[in-house]
Amino acid sequence: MPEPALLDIAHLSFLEVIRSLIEQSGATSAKGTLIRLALKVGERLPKTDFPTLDAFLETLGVGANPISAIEGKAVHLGGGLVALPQCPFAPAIKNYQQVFGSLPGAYDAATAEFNKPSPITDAHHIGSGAGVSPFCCVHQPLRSTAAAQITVGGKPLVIYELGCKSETGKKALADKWIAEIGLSPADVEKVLDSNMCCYLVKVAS
Amino acid sequence: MLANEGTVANLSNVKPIGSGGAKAILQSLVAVEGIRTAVVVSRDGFVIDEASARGAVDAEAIGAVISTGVGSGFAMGHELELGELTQSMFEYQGGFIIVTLASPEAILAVVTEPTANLGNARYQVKKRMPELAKAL
Repeated sequence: MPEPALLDIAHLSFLEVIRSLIEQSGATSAKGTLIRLALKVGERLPKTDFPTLDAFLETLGVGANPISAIEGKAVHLGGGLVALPQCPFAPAIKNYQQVFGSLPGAYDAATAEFNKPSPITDAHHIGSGAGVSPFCCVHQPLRSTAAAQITVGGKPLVIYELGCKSETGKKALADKWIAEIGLSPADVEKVLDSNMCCYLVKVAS
Repeated sequence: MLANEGTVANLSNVKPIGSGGAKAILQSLVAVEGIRTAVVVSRDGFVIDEASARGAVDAEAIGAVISTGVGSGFAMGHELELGELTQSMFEYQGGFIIVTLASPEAILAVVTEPTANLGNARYQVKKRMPELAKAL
């Protein structure tokens, strides 16, 4: 007889709080709340200085920097382009789906809001099509704020979110940021063939 | 050249949606007797502009709570099939908050003294709404 699926109540609570937030305060407000939450957490991460951008990028593979602390090990593909093989929310999503089958329907509205152009997503070079779930409303601004706490020779890092892939394999691209950094959507899609998230790291000028 | 290079990722990065004309309208609102604070926030709760007759206010916190509070009002209207929320008022021991949809993407919240003439406050808000919508 197969073991019954166990539900991690920390995961369940978090996913249900997001659902409730969307249903009770609306998708637009919920999106803003999730982004604010992420920015506040990101601002509290430790400040770290690296002598060079390469020195920082080398730490992505071993998970030894504040960004890796929130999302795990990543792969530097060259030129500051980074791929994340695993979504940090994957365990929560998998656990929830094992028990309930699918994510709450309300999530789609919040994801759509995150993908709409807005001053806050523009300010952090996130969203703009690169969201696949409300978890992106947390993950992407958190990563951008974590990056701003990291300096190279005193200058903060800046991140451009380029694309993301859902657990079902659907790819979502931020055409605006892809164009701005001079890549093509095909480049990012190729990265997402074997990864869940793709972004560019630069040092602020 | 990358846009926003050199900025750090905090709320102060957020650029106003409008051309900046909203500030003058908000300042004219807080010059009305009984109106204490006027703030415009985006529907997702980030402050676009604010003015206060009582010195500095925590606009960031105000934006967040207005968005969440009014978001419930929007959700309620949709659930009951009443369409978009256009105006809402909250009465507290210390004053009133009049919340008005300023544009599809922005909300105006006006905080008054408890003794304010509410009819006049609402009139003053309504009178400025077309100009504010244009400025956003």
